[in-house]
Amino acid sequence: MSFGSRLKWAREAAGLTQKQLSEATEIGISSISEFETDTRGPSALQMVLIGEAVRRRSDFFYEPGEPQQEVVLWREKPVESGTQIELQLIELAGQFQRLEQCVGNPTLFELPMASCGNRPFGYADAERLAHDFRKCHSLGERPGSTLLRILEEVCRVKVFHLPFEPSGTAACTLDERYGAAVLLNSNNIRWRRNFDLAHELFHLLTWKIFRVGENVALASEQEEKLANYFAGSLLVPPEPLRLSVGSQRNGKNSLDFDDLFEIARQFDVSVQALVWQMVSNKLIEKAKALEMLGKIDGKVELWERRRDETPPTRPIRFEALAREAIEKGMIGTGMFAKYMGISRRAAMKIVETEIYAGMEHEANAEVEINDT
Amino acid sequence: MPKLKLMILDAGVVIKLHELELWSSIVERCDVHLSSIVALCESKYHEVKGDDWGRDIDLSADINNRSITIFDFPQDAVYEFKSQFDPSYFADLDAGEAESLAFLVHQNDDYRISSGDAIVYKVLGNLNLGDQGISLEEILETCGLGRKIDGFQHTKAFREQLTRLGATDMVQGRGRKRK
Repeated sequence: MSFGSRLKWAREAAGLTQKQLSEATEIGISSISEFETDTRGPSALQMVLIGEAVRRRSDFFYEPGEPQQEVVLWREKPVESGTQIELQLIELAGQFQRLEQCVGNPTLFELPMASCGNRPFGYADAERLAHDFRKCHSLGERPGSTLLRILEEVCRVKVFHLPFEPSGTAACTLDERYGAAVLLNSNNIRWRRNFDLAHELFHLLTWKIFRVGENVALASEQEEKLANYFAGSLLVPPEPLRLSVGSQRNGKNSLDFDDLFEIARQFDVSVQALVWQMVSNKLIEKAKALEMLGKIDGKVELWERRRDETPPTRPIRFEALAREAIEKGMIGTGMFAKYMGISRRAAMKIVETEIYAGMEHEANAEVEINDT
Repeated sequence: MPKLKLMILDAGVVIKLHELELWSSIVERCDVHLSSIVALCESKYHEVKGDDWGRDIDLSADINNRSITIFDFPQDAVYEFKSQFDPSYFADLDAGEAESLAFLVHQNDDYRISSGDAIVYKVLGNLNLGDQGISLEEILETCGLGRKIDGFQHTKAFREQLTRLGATDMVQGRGRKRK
């Protein structure tokens, strides 16, 4: 596919008309038309402006073959900003992968992908998948506190946080160019994000089962139920849950909100997720759970938000690799600023006082590892 | 004495010279060349002081009265330049640096090339153009404005260290795609 065809494709994928692209870049509409018909090519400056508007690197426009449409699976895609957020997720995942290729670990991801042969994937499969994943990655009895770090550092899943509405939504994508990536809503409280992360993990693990045929970017209601079931099973394992409930009851016949909140904190999940997991494990009846959740509606959010912090957009590993990349001459200061989402001025300060200053004093120490 | 023919690849050098309030002196004493991306996009920044919203570095007066030279290069040629390197040799060059380097390898003028980025000197070393590099510290010295400036990336030692790295890569066959 030619440069012009790729430009047209990228513009349309960004949801822009030629007129809108012209307005965003201050490049005349006739010039854009000429670029798209390969009558002439843009200057390097025009390419920068176009790349920023459609959120694609300049190299993208020169790649051979047809452009591959990335599949981003949303739980309720934001109507207004969905496309832009999606492009931002793909851009961040691409930056992360380039950093991995140059200074990190180029392995795309290390996830045990699920399979189910020709039979339908059911609740028992979701539960087994959660059990196997927990065991295989030594997540322990209360995986909520370790799941994010294990996915990022061990499984090489790229997890980003951005603020968007509606609040109850998250997204994931899996691609041979940049690997597996998850987008969580930084407006949500941590317990909610934990559940969302486990939910999206289900989609990644079952990508090859459900993302086939038409409408690959849409999850069915049944798939969403399975993802929720998987998330609950992964974060709140049955036996530790029973033990915690027994310990909290301490001879009482019932548990109040404070008791439930205490157990939820142990598992790093929301009270709602805990209650539904108690229903799944037949520790309480569904009708009573609904009644309970109705009474505490609003109170939960208030309680849980008290001790919460907004997570950074990029993972710690991303930042560490970006710093290493600039030191080793893999990216320039401008790109460092772009990758980190900071101003050039702020990037210059970090580079001058924290990164290159270390080179001056040869601060990088090495230690030999024994062969045994 | 002919003016030093200077190509500044990195907006960081332009910004640093403004911070040091030496930009005008350098423009006066050197024949300064900038890529359109460095001049019109990357050099702009907000210098925030307290409640001050800051200011953009505006080079339009220098451009209009031709006290600096701006070049605009076709993207095709920039892509062709970048394509000669292994994809894992660098993750991402700043667009202004890429445009400048592409321009540089397409003409024979004897520019001295300045940057405060490791990636630029590494690539120059790899292209066997290391002799054309010049750090900000060296520019100031050459122009009779020598002084101690903050930032290891502006020193001769930094330039030499990274240029050597790139030159070693070239000798050992790293960085460039095999033809």
